[in-house]
Amino acid sequence: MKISGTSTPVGIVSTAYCLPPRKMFVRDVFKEEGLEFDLAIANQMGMNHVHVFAGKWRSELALEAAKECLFKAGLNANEIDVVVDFSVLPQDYVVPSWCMSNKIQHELGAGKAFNLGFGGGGTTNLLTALKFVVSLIRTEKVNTALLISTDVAIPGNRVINQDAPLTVLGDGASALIVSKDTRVCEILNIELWSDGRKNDVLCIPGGGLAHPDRLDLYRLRIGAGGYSEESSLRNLKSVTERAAEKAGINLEDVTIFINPNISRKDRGKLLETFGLSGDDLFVDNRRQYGHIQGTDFVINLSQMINERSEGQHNLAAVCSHGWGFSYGAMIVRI
Amino acid sequence: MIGIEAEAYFLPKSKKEVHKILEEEDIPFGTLAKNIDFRRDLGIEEVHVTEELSSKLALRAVQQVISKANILGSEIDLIIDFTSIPQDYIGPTWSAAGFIQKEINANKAFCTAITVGGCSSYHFALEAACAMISAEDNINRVLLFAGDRTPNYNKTYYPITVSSDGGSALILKNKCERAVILAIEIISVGRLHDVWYVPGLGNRQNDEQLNLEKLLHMHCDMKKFNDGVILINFTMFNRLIARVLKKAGLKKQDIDMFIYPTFSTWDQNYFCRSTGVPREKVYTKKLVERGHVQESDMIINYVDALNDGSIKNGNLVMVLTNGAGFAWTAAIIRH
Repeated sequence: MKISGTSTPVGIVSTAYCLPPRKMFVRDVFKEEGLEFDLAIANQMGMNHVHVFAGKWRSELALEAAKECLFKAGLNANEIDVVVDFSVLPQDYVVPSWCMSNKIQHELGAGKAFNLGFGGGGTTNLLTALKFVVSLIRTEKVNTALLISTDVAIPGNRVINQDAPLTVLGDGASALIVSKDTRVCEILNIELWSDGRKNDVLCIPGGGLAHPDRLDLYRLRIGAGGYSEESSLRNLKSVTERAAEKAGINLEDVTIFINPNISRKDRGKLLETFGLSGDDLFVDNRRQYGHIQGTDFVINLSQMINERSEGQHNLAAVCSHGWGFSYGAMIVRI
Repeated sequence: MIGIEAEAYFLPKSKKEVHKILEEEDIPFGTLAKNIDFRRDLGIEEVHVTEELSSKLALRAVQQVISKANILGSEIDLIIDFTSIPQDYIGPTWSAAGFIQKEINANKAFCTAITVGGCSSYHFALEAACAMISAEDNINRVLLFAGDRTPNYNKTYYPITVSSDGGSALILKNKCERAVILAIEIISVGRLHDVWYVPGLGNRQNDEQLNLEKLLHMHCDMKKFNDGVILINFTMFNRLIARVLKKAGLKKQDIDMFIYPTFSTWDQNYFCRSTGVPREKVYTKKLVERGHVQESDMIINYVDALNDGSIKNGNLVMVLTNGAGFAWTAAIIRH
């Protein structure tokens, strides 16, 4: 298949995720943050519990995911050409001065790789990272890429937002290996678009240059005034349609829509906006893990890969609205 | 063929004398290894300082580069923020790319940030942009920008340099014959990931008594720096130069000008001595009056070298640096 002017097939050859062992019921998360957890909230979220990281270095989770991902792909670390971080939340040290992919390269022994990360786009960071590595592979600069992320909620900041909850954050990490000349989970096209007017909707206002000493603002928040679920999902549908069109298919040909596990309400609105019917495919993932940023995609994608039947392929759209700022859609053949 | 359509920078007018900064920040006197005396061999007299947010510094550079390129924001397909130090808000959650998109009405663009520390972020951004331009039919023009403001009392990156605040930007364009990118080379050494780092509020021990200097300032692990970076620095530069020249099919003597960060006199002397690059081929004229502007050094020094005629049409220019994290990176440009 000729895609975007090239015939080089590029695919996701393995996925893995790592969740810390400790779990916490969502109702207890609300209680710990001094919030009411009633039936309406429970229905809106559709989450039972989240995994909670208790260690010091959150990159340890990503390292575990990366090791498992390499193992599943049957690759050695020295076969990796580039390591790309797509995390969203604060890391071991302040980003961009520090980049986890360097540490992971070292810990894995991926000596020939070069390392970087993509940020500023919420869960769309994953699709940005994928677009970059697909471009590198298609221009024959690299053969194999390792993508990694780790996201651990700021203590006391799992319910986003506290006055009108939109989601509950769990902790976890994930990894994917992308390689050329494979039709395993083949990436057909990735489309990206940003709306800069919404650049600070997803934001941690304290601790940076704007408010260095405001510990009270060192919290992730979704700027409710800037975020519109309806317009974000409408825009996401347009981006997904463009992605499908450029992949040479119609949106109607796509049978699986993978989005982050933000909430039952968000998933429902996505299905409604996209004019889809059927089951909520990722209900169990959301119930068990909450929202773990870009790792949600890896968990959901892994489920779809595991559930596919031998010899039967489905077209999937991996969609991210980046809270109205950073949009991405990837068409992939699972 | 991908070339640089335009490049520009912005430095705030306000300046501060370096000797005052060194006093304020209690920088030690005395000699380091190889008879280097940081204060004596720094070679920087003053740096630019401001209280403006780094995003605003970046915006001024971006506005200039758009004006120089004589384009509209709406003609830009991709915006990459390659700032390498902490910004207005916490990363990787936020970057200034979306703010820039909004301010310049780059309505069709996609925005992202390269989150890798150090001056090498310039080359990572270049690599990302060139890869996407080459692979994608609908990405033809890319804006790269950075904006940097170091916190007060954290201007000195001992024992390397003293930082200026400022911003820079360039526009890469497909099928552009000006300043053509011939080759990019990147070598990462991940074991040195935490030589330079900012701990951040997430690493605080005590909510009641926040030590902001400890948490929000750039720190150097001097042992790792000496045992890790210094030991291999110029070996890595030589390896880097050989690799990027090979990629471009060139020899070292073919290069007309080397654009290298304005860290310090001692660093530049060592660079020339260790790599065999003649001193007159390394553009460092503004070190004394500006010091180091992080990853923007690569663009600022390029612009200054162009403006004073040190880079002429047709010249081969190697832009190279090392960068915390750690990476050694280079690009060869036919201007």
